Amino acid sequence: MRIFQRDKYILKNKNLKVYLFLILPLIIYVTFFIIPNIKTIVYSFVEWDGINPVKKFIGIDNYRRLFGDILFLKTLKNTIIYTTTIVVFDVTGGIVVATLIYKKTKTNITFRTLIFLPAMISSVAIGIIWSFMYDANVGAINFILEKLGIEFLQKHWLSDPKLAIFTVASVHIWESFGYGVILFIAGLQDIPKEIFEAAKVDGVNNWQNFTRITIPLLKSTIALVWILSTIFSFIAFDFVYVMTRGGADHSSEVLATYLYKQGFRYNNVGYSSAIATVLFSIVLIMAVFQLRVSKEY
Amino acid sequence: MRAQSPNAVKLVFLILFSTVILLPLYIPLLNSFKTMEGFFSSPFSLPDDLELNNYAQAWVKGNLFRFLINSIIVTSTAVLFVIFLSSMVAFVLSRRKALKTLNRVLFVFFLMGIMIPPQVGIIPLYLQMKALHLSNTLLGLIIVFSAYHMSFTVFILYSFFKNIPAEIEDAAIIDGCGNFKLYSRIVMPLSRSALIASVIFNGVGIWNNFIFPLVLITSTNKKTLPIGLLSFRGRWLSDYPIMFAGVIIVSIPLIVTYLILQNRFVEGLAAGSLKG
Repeated sequence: MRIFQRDKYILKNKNLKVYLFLILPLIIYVTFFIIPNIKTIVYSFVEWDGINPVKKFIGIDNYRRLFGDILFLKTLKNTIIYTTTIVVFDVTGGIVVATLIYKKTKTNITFRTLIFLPAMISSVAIGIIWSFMYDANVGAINFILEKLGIEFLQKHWLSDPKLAIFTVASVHIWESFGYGVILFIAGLQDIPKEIFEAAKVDGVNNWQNFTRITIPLLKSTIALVWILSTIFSFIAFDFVYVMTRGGADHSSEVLATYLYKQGFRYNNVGYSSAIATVLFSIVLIMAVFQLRVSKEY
Repeated sequence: MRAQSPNAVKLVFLILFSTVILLPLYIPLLNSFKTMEGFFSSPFSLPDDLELNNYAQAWVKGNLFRFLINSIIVTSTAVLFVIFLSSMVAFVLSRRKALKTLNRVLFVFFLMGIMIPPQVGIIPLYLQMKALHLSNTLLGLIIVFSAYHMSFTVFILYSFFKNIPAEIEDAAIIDGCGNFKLYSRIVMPLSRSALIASVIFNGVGIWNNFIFPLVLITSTNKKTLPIGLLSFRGRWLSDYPIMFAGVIIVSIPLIVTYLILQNRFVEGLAAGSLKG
C-alpha cells in the first residue's frame, strides 16, 4: 500500500502531459516510415505482383531463391567490389588530404571548401556530367588521354563489363570524398599541438609522425569514416541508376538497383522485399558493429 | 630549399586534386555556352560567342522552371515540417521530469530510422502512397521526406536539447511556464545553432534527393529538379550543350548558397554525418 502511494506520488510529480507533443510525430513516423519497412519484411515471405488482391504465403522460398539466383550473387559481389573500392579511397585518401590541409590557413580553408563542393550537387547532375566525362567517343577522359599521347589507356569506361563498376565507384568517390576529409580534419584539430611539438623536439620525422602519432590518435575517426563510407556505398543507388542502369550485362548492378528492378520492373514484390531485407540485415549488422567500435574508443 | 620541398609537393598535389574536382564542373559550364558544332569541334576551348540559346531551351522547353518551383515548394515545406515534428520529439526525450524508461524506449524507437536505408521500404511505401492517393502529389513527397528525415533530425536536436542547463528549465517551470511555453519560448530559441544545422542538413538532402521523387512522381508538372533533369536527358540525349545548360541551372542554387554560407554548411553537414 505504501509502495503504491509512493508510485502515485512519483507519477504525480512527473510531467506526463508533455507526451501529447508526440501525437503528430508518431502518426507520421509510424505510418510513413515504420509500417513500410515492416511490410517489406512481411512481403519477403509472400509471392505477390503488387496488384493482385491475393498474396500467396510461400515461407522462406524467396530467400532460398536468392542463393540460386546467379544475378543476385553477381549483384552482391558487385556491391562488395563497389563498397571496397570506395572505402579504401575515402579512408586512406581522406587521411592524406586532411593531414595536408587541416591547419587553418587561408589556402587550406579554400581547399576545404572546394573538396566539399561535389557533395552539394545532385547525384543526377553528377551522373550526367560524368557520363559525358567517361563517354568512349566524345568524352573528356579519352580526349585528354589522346592529347597526352597515351591512347592505349583509352577505354570504354561505361560499357566494358570489367570496368563499369569501377567507373561508377570513382564517381561515387568524387562525390563522397569531402565528407571523410571534413571528419578527419575535425579529428586532427582535436589532437593537442603539444604532442607534435614534443615529437619534433625528439627528432621524429614526418613519416614517423604520421604513422606513430597521427594514425593511432585518429583511430576513432578512422573507424567512423570507415563505417559511414561502407554503409553509404553499400546502399548506393543513384549513380548506378543514372550512369549505367546496372548495365554492360549487369556488370555494374548493385543490390539497391537490383531490388528496384525486381520490384518495379518485374513486379516481383515478394522477391524484391527479400533482397531488401537482406540489404537491411547487412546494414544493421554494420551499424551495430559501428556502435560497438565507437563505444570502445 | 630542403625545407621548401614538402610544401612544393603539397602544392602540386593539391593543384592536381583541385583539377579533378573542378574539371568536371568547368567543362559543362564552358560547353553550355556553345553550339553543337562548337562543342564537337573543340570541347575544351573557350566559346567563340556566348550561345545563350541553350539556357533558353532548357528553361522553357525543358520545363526547368516548373521543376525549380516544385523543388522549392517541396524542400522548404518538408524542411519546416520535419524540424517541427523532430523538435517536439527531441523536446519530449530531453525532459528530465518525464518517465525515464518510456523515454529510453521512445529514444530507440525514433532513432532506429537512422539505421534503415531508404531503399528498404521503398516498394511497400510506393504501394501504400498509391492506396492513400498520395502518390504523384507534392504533398505526398513532403510527408515522406518528413517521415524519413525525422530520426536523424531528432538525433541532432536531442544532442543539443539535452545539454541545455537544467536550471533554466527549472526556473521556467517555477515561473509557471507550461510545456508549450517551455518548448516555444525557451528551448527552441536557445537552440538556434542546432536548428540551423538541421535546416542545412535536411535542405541539402531533400533538394538533391533522387529516389523518392523517382518512385512517387510520374507526371511532368510535379517533378522536382533531379528527376526533371533525368527526363531531360532522355530528350536531349546527344545534345550536350543543352543538357549541360540544364545541369548548370539545376546545380547553381545550392552551389551559390554553399559558397555564401560555407562554414555553416561544412559544420552542419559534418554534424549530420557524425551519427555515432
